[in-house]
Amino acid sequence: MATVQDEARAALTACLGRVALRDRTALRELYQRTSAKLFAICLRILSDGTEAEDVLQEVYLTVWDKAGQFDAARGLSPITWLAAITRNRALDRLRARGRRFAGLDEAAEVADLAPLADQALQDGETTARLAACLAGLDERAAAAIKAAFFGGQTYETLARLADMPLGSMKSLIRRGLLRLKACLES
Amino acid sequence: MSTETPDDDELAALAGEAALGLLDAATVAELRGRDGRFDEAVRAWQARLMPLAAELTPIAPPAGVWRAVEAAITPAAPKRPGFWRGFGLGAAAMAAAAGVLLAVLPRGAIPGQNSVATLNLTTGGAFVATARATATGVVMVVTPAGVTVPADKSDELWLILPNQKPRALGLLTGSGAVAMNLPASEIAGPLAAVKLAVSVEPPGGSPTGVATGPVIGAAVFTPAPGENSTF
Repeated sequence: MATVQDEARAALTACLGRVALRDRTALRELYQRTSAKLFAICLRILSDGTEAEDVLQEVYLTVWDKAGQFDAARGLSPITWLAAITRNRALDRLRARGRRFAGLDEAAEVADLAPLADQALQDGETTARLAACLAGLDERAAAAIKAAFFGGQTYETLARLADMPLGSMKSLIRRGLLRLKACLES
Repeated sequence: MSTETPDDDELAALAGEAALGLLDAATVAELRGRDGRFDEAVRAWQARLMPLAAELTPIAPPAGVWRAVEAAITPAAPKRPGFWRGFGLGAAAMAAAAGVLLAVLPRGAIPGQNSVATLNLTTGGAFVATARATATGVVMVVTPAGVTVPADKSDELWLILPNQKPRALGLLTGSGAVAMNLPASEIAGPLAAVKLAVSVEPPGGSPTGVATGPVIGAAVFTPAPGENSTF
């Protein structure tokens, strides 16, 4: 089971290596392997087909430019790196639309993901684990964390949507985050 | 909010809120300044949460997206100024890329042409380094071929320029390619004069900045055979 994931990961890593050398066929292969996954992220965040297509195009041009910054030796999974670029670009687009999105700034820069020495980023396994840990949280906490992740929502918006006082929403999310971390690390 | 260093739970909660985009920029700046561990904690949260994005049901984008990408990366295509600005490449960088390219390239390196160094290892297998001069230096990808790095060791790559001490470039793995950028300031001179070497080091690499273990492979760059520029 892990073999298929390892192979996919190795293939994507090799692809990114060739893209760093400006190999256009490698970018095409990368696009074929990953564009449906990344387009889903764009659509989920932007809820608008045309904007999602624009951002997806930007993402691959960013990758064309920055593939050399992907550092497989640090243990970062290539699809996680690509997903992070996509989410950042899509949230940038949301912010440009005038909706509030604040806070990450430099901390959200893609390059900052590079030094992440997390050997546990085995895609399928990590996804299943996160889903299991989220399922163990208070339903409202899990829903709010997902909404914030994809939407760049404010605490105020989240509280209004859930019909909860602001303070309750804050402690719900903070408790949820700590439980999530404990669950993922257990 | 206290001005003391937050304890571990407080740090984790704040970093999680930052990774979700729930804190305003001023608060994030203050937290980064107050606790050196904050950035790392935010990155850890990004890695924890990113599977949320990866688990979405894939949706194939319309074919026009790839055509637009392809047009933008094909040399004949007109440059889109907005695009380049978006990546922080100003007019000066554009000028450098277009006109003054040769001035900053390592001598003897032809833009767009790949050079290859094959490091056959005494322990079996080889690392193949493919390098290419760019406007800002050299970009290099090192691909393993049949290499097994023992679990309790690291294979470390060294750059050796004439009359200079070897410099550590990073760790190599047997499982995937590693890409690295070498700025022009660090690799002036013809690529043919550049030698690469691999040594066996403790996990994580040489603790001293000097190779401490046996050198198991070394090679110089030669132009890639039959190389056609793709740029």
